[in-house]
Amino acid sequence: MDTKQIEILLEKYFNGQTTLQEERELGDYFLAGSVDPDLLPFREQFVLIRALQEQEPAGPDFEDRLAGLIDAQDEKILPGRRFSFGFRWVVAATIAILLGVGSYLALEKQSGHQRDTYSDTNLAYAEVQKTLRYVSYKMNRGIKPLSTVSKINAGAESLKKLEKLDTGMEMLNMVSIINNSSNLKK
Amino acid sequence: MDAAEFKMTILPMSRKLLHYAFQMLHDTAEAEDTIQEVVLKLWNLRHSLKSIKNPEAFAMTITRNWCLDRLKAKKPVYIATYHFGYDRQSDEYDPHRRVEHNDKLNILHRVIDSLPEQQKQVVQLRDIEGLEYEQIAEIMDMNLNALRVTLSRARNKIRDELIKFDAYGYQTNRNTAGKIL
Repeated sequence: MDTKQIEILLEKYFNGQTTLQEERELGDYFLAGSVDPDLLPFREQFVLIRALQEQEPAGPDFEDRLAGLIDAQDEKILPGRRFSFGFRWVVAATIAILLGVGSYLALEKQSGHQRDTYSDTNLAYAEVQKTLRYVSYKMNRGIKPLSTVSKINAGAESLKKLEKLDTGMEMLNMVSIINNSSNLKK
Repeated sequence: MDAAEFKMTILPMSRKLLHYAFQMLHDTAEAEDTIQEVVLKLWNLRHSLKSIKNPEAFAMTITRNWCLDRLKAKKPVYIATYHFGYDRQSDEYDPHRRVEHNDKLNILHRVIDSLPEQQKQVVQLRDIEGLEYEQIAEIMDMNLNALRVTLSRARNKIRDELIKFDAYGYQTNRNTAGKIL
């Protein structure tokens, strides 16, 4: 690139008008070595800025370390995904005990004989009917006040809208960060 | 955004963020700590990151704020104690040239540090981190015109200061510089 062009770019540069590409071209020119003597006073600035650009402040494994950090966070958030060895044995033992007790009770029921307490079947039938009617009456009386529970359900439904508020709040969180930055500037 | 996606989209920015933090803090360990904090913060915000128009500018803004907090909380940073991390200069074999190079870099650091806060940040974001004007305007919350003016002032001041440091031997050229601009 000839000196004239570089001078034009320099003027743009010092007016804050250059594109990134033009700034790279300027840097390349001053780093290349064969700088026009008239332009030597500008050389230092571009050489040093290039040096700052190319500084490597971290070891090559920095990104890997961050990835490890993210993995650690990820597992913290989903603790249910992986059970510990001990916990698995507890679950297995519980299932085994339930199966054992359940099958014992089932076998017991099968083997037991039932004896009739009434000699007249009609009388037995009437007695059973009477008992069931009584139970059903008591039950209906108990259930009646429960109908108001459905109102609570309707209320809970509208609470779901709060989730939207939650996501909104998260966005606001970001706004506060930006806000912070403008505060700091002041 | 899950962990895999986060690693694909956000982590590649981390070097740039680190570079920026290092420019502000002049300390490798502190810059790394800062970026770890920034990445954790972004991770916590991962569900809303998708709705952000310019994630890089957003990440840079968080980094900038974090660095400013650290600088405010701490004693002044002494320029003389810079150590250039994993700096791999080609003139490694010549200790004299290396020292001279680092001295000059220190001078540039000092010049940049002596700029008014806004000019300093704009120069760091543009000339060192190579961000687009629009991104810097967003990070700094400035309009493009004000940004260009600030950048122009900063660049001119850096040039003048460097020439002052180097005046010895460049007297005649200094006049030419005046002529060109």
